[in-house]
Amino acid sequence: MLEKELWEKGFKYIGGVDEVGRGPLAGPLVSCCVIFPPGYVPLGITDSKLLSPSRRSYYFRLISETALSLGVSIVGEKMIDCLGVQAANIYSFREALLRASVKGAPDFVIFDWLKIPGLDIPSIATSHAESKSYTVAAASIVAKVVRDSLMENQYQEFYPEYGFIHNKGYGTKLHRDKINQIGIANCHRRSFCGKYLEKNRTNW
Amino acid sequence: MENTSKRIGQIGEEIASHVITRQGKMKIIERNYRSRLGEIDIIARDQNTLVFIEVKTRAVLNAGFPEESVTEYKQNKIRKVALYYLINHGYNPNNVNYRFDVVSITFIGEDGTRPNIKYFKNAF
Repeated sequence: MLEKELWEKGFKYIGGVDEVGRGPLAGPLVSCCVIFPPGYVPLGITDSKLLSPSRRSYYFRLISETALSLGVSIVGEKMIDCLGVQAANIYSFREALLRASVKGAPDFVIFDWLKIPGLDIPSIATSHAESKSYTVAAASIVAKVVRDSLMENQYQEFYPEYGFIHNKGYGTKLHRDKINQIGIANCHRRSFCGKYLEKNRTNW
Repeated sequence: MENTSKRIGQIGEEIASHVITRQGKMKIIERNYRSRLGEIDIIARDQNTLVFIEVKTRAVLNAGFPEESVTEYKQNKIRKVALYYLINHGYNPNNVNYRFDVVSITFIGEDGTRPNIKYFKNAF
């Protein structure tokens, strides 16, 4: 695990940053940054995609109780349309890190895949960081739980037609069929739905 | 024709960069910044403030003053590109100072070679 090597190098407070929701047709991009107390090894935490929703919410509670600091950033679909996912992702990573930052912590940051320019703390970005680092795995769990809960509650309530409770905004068959039938709504990322834009403009 | 207006624009940007750096307060960071969202003519630094500058040049005035052509649509576009620049260049848009300036250049005099420069600080 990456944390062990970093502790040996003398870093104490390691921040892990991960995002959820780069791909879906609707809904926000959620990033999270987690900092654990030095030397703390959470048991059983792995990539959020490998865990069932009930396991995820169990770990979500565990993480929020044990973490030294937590930061979550939610970037809406309008901003993604305006700037593109990449810039929106950089923005939300920075925002999450800023919100998790406390005095002196983190002193090292692990990003999942995407490197953030212009940071004054040392950092690395590796692909599949969720499986290499507990901290990033924990961040991915928190981000996933936050985003899923947003989609299942608020988005489902405002836009019940699209079945967000099942698809969380991702482009499943049901979701795409619904868009074909009734068109896209305000919650959809225009820049992702180019194919559906001509159809049914009345809905937005 | 298109080439001429492009040339005029380039000359205008050249003049504007001189004007900006002449006082010694502002430093140019980048010229003709291009991104997928659009362009910004000049990006400069004024002490701790980033300045995004739009240069507008007109050789003839029959289409109105150059500064009038920086419409609301254009302003919003520049705002978007500026935000994109900040995010991609390691700034946090929420705690960095920045402003938008417009430089308007027209050519006056009998032979139309004397530039008339107007500088709008904090234009929008």
